Amino acid sequence: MIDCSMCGHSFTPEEGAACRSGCPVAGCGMVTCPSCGFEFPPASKIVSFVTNVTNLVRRRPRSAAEGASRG
Amino acid sequence: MTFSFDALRGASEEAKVPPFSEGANPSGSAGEEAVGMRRALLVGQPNVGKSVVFGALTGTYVTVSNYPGTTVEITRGHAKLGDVPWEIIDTPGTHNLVPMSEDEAVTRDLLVSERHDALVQVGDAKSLSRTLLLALQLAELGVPFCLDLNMLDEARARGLTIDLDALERELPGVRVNASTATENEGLEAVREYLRTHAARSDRAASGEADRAPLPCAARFPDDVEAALADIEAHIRSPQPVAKRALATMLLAGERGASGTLSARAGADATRVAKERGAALARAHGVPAFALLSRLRLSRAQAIVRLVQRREVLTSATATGERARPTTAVAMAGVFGLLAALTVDGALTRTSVASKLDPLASYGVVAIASRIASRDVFAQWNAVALVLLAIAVPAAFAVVRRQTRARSASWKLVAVFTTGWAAYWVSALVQGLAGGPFTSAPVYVGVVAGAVALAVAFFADPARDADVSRALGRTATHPVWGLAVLAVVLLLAYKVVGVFGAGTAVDFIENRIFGSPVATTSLDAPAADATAALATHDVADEGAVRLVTLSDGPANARRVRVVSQVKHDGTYVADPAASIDVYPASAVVERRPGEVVVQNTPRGAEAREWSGFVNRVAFGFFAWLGIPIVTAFFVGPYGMLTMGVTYAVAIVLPVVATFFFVFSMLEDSGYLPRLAIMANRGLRSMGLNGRAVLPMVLGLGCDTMATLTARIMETRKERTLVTLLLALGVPCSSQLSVIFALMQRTSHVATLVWLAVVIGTLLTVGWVAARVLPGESSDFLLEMPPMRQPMVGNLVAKTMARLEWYLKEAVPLFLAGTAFLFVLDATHSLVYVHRIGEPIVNHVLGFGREGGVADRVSEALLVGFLRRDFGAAGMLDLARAGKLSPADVAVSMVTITLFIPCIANVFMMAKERGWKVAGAMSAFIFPYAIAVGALVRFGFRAFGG
Repeated sequence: MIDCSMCGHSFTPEEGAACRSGCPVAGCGMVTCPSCGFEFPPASKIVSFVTNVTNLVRRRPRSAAEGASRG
Repeated sequence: MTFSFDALRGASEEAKVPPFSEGANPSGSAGEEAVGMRRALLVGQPNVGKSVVFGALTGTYVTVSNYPGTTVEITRGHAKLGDVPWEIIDTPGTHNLVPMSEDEAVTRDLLVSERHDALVQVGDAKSLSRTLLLALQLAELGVPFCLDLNMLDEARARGLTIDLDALERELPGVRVNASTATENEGLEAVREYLRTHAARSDRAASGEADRAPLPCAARFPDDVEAALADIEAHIRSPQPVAKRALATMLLAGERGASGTLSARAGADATRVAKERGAALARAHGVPAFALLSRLRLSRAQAIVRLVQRREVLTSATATGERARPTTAVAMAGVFGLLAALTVDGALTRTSVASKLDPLASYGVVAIASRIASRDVFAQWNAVALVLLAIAVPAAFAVVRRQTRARSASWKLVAVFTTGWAAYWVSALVQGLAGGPFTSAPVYVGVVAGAVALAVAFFADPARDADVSRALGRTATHPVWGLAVLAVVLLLAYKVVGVFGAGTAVDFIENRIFGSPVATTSLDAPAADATAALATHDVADEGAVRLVTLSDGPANARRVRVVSQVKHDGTYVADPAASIDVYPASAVVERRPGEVVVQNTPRGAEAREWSGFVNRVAFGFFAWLGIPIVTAFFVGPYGMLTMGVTYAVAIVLPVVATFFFVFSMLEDSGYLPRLAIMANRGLRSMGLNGRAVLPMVLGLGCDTMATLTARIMETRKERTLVTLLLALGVPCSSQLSVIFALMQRTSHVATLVWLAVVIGTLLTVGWVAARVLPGESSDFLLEMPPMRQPMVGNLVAKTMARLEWYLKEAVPLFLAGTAFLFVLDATHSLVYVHRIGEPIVNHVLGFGREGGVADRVSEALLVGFLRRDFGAAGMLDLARAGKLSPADVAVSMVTITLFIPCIANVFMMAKERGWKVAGAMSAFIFPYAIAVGALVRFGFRAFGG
């Protein structure tokens, strides 16, 4: 999920990419908040790569706290 | 992690708390489509998961049709709950029952035009006050309903807990539930509600009596209640909903919607409502719509305070664990270093002006050597040393005590900022008073910082939310909000203009990319070494030159190239110089600060470089020996020496720091508050409040923001917003370079720039207020709480924006450079200089010395391709000391008012048509030049 920096609304990357249909700026890569229309870049590829590598190295299991919130 | 499950109860438990009795009688249904069919409406704000709830209740078989007379789509589905068939209608998202759009009007009409068997409001559990604002209006309808707080999982993730029993006590007549519709969690309770609701709906459908508002409906002040009673008395009967709801809607006025409400209530009621509304507006100083919303909101917020709790969401909370000592030591160390730097910078400078930038000239090496030097102990006195010695352990204690490292780190930042701001204000006051600078402001700053540190230590972490709320209120206050904005802008300038454009650009441009700091031809070496080394032809302190001397007999064709740097008025040898000779094969000997060459061909030259990237590249292309290729890549208009250097060495550090600050503003929750502040200003200009979002987005990218102008309601408003964006709203890269240029000019020039840009926006707004017909509409924006940004998130966001910027800007920078290169290679650039000279030299007043006017002409030309590219050219000139403060001010004004980039022009044409885009361009370019000329005239008139 992506949190909008302007209004705090949480939305999926697919919802954020809905602005692309009919947009004349091809491949701008921005996502648009469906609630307030604020635009921002979704994620850094470099940071995602580093995070993935770090996670691979650490192989950290899901925290117990996440599971507890469902119970 | 602990978690309260107050907000979630099992369906079995819910069945024991029936708001209505069991025992439906399907035959008494009011359903019109089929006998026994009942109808329920799903209502809620946009994006709260209504459609997911709808899908979960009805399955996949739905029909979609337009609401009569509109283009708004209504989705209907069917469900069998118990023995009773239900029609479920998914209404368009609405924030308010006083509609501001066609969608909202359809929902309002659906609610008030027919009787319904049940109502289900789907709300966002994360935004309880916003949800309750609508719930309180629905309560006025008198239709008992179920309030389903959806997105419970997200609320949990944010540490929110809601006491549903308490909420139900606060909302008598309303059934309260919580769900995570995407996981089908908690929806059984909604089905159960519809099942148990059947019997009640039979009575409601019979139409025996008018409905009364639910007990939880907001009670207004006496004068409002009297007005509502008067309007109710004039509403004709019967009505499918409580007359009070119609009365409040009429009192608020039918804003931008069709007259269906007036037709339903009757002309008398509409007339009375209009009179009463106007009287209330006069008495309270706000429109009746805003008055009712404000009163309902205060009731909603009172309920939220009673039923909602926010927990601190870290493992530290559960375990009582404190920040690790190593973390605390590291953070205290950074804090101490920053504090020491500021105190040191403040103590060791003499003029007030330079004291405003205590960190300006501190590179990493300078910091370390300075802190370790004896000067510190010589210039600092015992008081400053003792205070610093106390500050570091105190910072350590704050981090340890505050349990959460993130919270503590931001508290340390706040402490530092408090001390720094106190110092800055005192220094400014002292400077304005005209007295000599003393150490007093330093100690004011240190004492203010110490007090802030003590407050941070003793403050209860549990009260962070109160601080956040207070900060949020201050940021939107009409007076204090401006003060907060000023501090934010000042800090942004310090980070972007001083650190980004000063320290970071210096390092990357000079240490990494580099440029030839001195060039000399080897064709005519001086015979008299002593005389040549003693000549003084460069005035600047620190200037570097290469001196070419004959080495030995003339026929030996041996030449010495010596590097010298000017120090205290005389040239001395520079043994650390890096001298390259082209062709490199001519070098026969290297000594510290000089080279000896032999048998050089004609046209050979030597260069001294400051960095290594351009040096290596130039060496490679010189070795290749193809002049046109060398010129294309590393010439004066080279792809590397100009295109890449501008993009990466000059603009990138500046936009990187700007993006970091922008991300910090985003994550702190300040941006929506800035939008509220801007909204106030825009409305006073007669502009529509919706214009805020494109304006704020324009600070990121004007091209994207031009697209967002679509949200404006009329064509004229869209055109106006497009014009304002192109004219007066600087984009991120533009603003970054402006911050950088600010550093090269006086405070007066900065204020002039600010006044011109704001004046332009106000003037165009003022004209528009007289040209545009119709009333302005409201701007509704959910206000997230003020938060502490996480450094990891800030870095990730900054990186994301930088990647976007590099993809967007670098190709255009290279294209601009190639364009200039072609003009230069075909000797056409001279025509640009000739055409530009009357404007640049005579109108804008730039001097011809050192090719300044020519370079400014080029900057304005390529500035059209991309405004920051032109601005980078100006910045390059300013950094070389070729522009006076007045020159910089004229540049800042002219470039800001230009259209940002060619992409923006294409977007304007795409959105508004070529005719409008052409007209705007035809207005903007002469306007920018004219205003630049006016600024120059002003500076000349006042001796600037």
